Amino acid sequence: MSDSALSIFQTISQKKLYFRIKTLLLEVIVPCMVFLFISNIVFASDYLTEKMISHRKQKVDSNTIVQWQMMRIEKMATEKSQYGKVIFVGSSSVVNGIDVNIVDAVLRSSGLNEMSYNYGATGLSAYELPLLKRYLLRPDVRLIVFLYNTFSFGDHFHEQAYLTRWDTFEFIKLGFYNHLDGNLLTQVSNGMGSELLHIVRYKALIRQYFRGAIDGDLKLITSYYDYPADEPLPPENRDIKLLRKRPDREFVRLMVKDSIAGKDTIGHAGMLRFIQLAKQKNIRVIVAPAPEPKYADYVFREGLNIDRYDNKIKELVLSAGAEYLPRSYIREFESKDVHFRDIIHLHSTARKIYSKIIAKRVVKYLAGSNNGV
Amino acid sequence: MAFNSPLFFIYLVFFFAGTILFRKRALIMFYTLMSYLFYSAAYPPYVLLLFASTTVDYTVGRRLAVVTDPRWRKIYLLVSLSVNLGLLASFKYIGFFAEITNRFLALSGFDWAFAIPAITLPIGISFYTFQTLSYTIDVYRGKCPPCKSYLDFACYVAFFPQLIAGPIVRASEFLPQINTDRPFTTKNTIKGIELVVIGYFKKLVVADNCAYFVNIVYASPSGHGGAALWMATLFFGVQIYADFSGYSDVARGLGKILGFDLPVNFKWPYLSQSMKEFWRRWHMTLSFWLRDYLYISLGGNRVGRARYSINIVITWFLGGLWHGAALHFIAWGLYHGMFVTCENLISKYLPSRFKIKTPSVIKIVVTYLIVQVGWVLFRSDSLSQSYYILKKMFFYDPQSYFTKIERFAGEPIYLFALLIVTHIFTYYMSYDVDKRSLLLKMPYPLRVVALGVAFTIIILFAGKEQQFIYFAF
Repeated sequence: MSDSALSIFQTISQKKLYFRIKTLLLEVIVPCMVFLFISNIVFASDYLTEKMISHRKQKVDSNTIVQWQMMRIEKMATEKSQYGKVIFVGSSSVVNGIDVNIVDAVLRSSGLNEMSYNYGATGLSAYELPLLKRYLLRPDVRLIVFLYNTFSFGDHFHEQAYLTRWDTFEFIKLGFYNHLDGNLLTQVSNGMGSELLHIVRYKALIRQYFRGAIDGDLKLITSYYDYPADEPLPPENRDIKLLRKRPDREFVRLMVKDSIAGKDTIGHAGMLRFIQLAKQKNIRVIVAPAPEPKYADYVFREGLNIDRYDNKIKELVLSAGAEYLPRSYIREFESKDVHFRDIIHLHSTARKIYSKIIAKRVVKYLAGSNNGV
Repeated sequence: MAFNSPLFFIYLVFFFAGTILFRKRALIMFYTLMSYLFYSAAYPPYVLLLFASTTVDYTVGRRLAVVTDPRWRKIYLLVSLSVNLGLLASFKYIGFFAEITNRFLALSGFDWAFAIPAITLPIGISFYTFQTLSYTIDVYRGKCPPCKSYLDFACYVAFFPQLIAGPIVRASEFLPQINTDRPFTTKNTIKGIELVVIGYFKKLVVADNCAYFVNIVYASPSGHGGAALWMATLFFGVQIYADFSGYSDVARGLGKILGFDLPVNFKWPYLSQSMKEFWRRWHMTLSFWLRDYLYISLGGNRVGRARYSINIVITWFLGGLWHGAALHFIAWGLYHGMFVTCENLISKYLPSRFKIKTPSVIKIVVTYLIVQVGWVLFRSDSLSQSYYILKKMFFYDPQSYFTKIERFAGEPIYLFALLIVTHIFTYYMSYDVDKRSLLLKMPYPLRVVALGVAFTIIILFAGKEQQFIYFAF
């Protein structure tokens, strides 16, 4: 090869290299560091976080709610519990279905000192559990109770969730690259951006908070539930003619249809991976169905054989070494329409009842019953 | 790969890392390969089209350097024109032509129709084919020496900052800069970053937030009154300006960081006092391209009145068609062409005693309104939708004219005000950045903090992600 051809492979002189690195460092990287500081230190400060969790605009969109829930979970994850945590995680069924005060009261009355936490988040599905490992699998966590819905084990990514509840490494480990709509690289890079940058992950929430502060529109949030506690009781028997059937293109129906097909999904893979991760940290996992009304059969569960669905999850969970609580624990509870304000969420009065039911199961488990749950 | 995607920032990390390591020829090769990688992110097979256009025009340029026979020179030029325009026609216009033909056949009573192929538009094809054509035409005319190095030429064509959405760079502007080994000089880096920040602010904060309101109204014009349609159209005027000029600023800024001066593409177009002036300030590289390679080739204004008017119509017809393979884009081009023609005819042929002296501010307002009305044709999905919207805008129906106008109360007005402020700020920065650079004047600590805050504001207030408008061309 001639000298002139070889010369193209010669790299730069040391002096030029030094100068270029210096310019890049001072004029590009340092400002990026300042930006990272603002994003991940200033906006993620305890003071601002506390403010944003406790105050919100009167009317916010669903993106803001999802981010608010996540910020709350992130904050709770950093709180250390001397006697260990019991975490309830799942979709908005969990958000609105678990009263941690009642659960704690049951635990105390049984002589247990663990603190319970509600890590429910809108639309949270099984595949997301490993993506939330940095919040769930902390040293002070003793037990995680995953309450799943009939749409929790589908094969679709939740559009609002993926920019807020994301872990690039765990996503790659799940290996379901072909499940992303659109350009894979773009979506993964978007996910990484939200994972690394606090202001990207909580953009909508931060914006609405400052907008609310400017407009004087912030209200104090007194509970994490989505619905007011003083709602009128639902009817004893729901008239299904008045209910809207979910079209097949809606997320919840898409997820159920995946389960009807009976195939292995990212939900199953995510559940398995999560149990493995939890075992490595000596954290016990209980998987149990969240209550759903019978009329959900008409609205979004049409075609789903619930027993077969539950059995598949049970086999998976037991084979991975976690605990499974069969649906029989809430069969009677689920049969009463009056417990449900809508197709997924419990009414506030039913929340109290259900919280006691699940708390007693947790007590049995923590107390080390020979029969498990 | 869009400039506003996180993937692009990852790409940039590797790009900058390579840039600091390589020198001269290795650096050009690195730029070229990375630019091809950048282009392949959208749809890898289309890299072949870029390669084909580059290779054909490089070869034609080399042949034009040695061939003196005028017939053969014309043949070589025709080869370049055929290949580039052929690529454009095949990938961008074939569906449109098929559709028009089918409509004509149907109107003529024929039962038979062409199958309309479903072809994905190769991103940036309108830009790089025009860019390479400018090279071969300039070489043919003797205005630009042919490029001896294939690598240099490939770098010129594929250079990623301007590959996908311009500015359309002339070879005579770019090639002399190639072998100057000057990436990451302090001054250029600071000025470049300033341009990039301004560009991202315009695109992400102004344009993408405007798009929210525009999309809602234009998705359902029948559900909105004339007033709301006016507001949406004005907002679209803001959106397209901020989007496209923002992209150009980012492209110029990245070029500057790497040591390249790319041409200015926008110069306060909404302060134009005539439509002619508008096209000297809006998407300047395209309008100059059309002027130099189409309009002048047709004879320009050195012909009779009738032929001159025809030249303008053809130029604007093709200018509109360049923007999109649809009748409403052609209508938009002809709409602008009509006003430019009238202005030219008036200024050339109307005796001065009939000319009225109009205050500049009136001229600016009138020109602005004419341009905004034209955006209806541009933004609509079809000619019939354009007609529907224009009818609603211009015919006052007291019962429905103000339907849904409340959408534009509050926040949208802040956005409009934000654009005015941005416009004023960027007048001093983006197109005269060599003379006026705010960041260069700042002491280092303040500069660093200002940039950090600027990045934060951009990320925090970015609207819902929208594709760059001109990516569709």
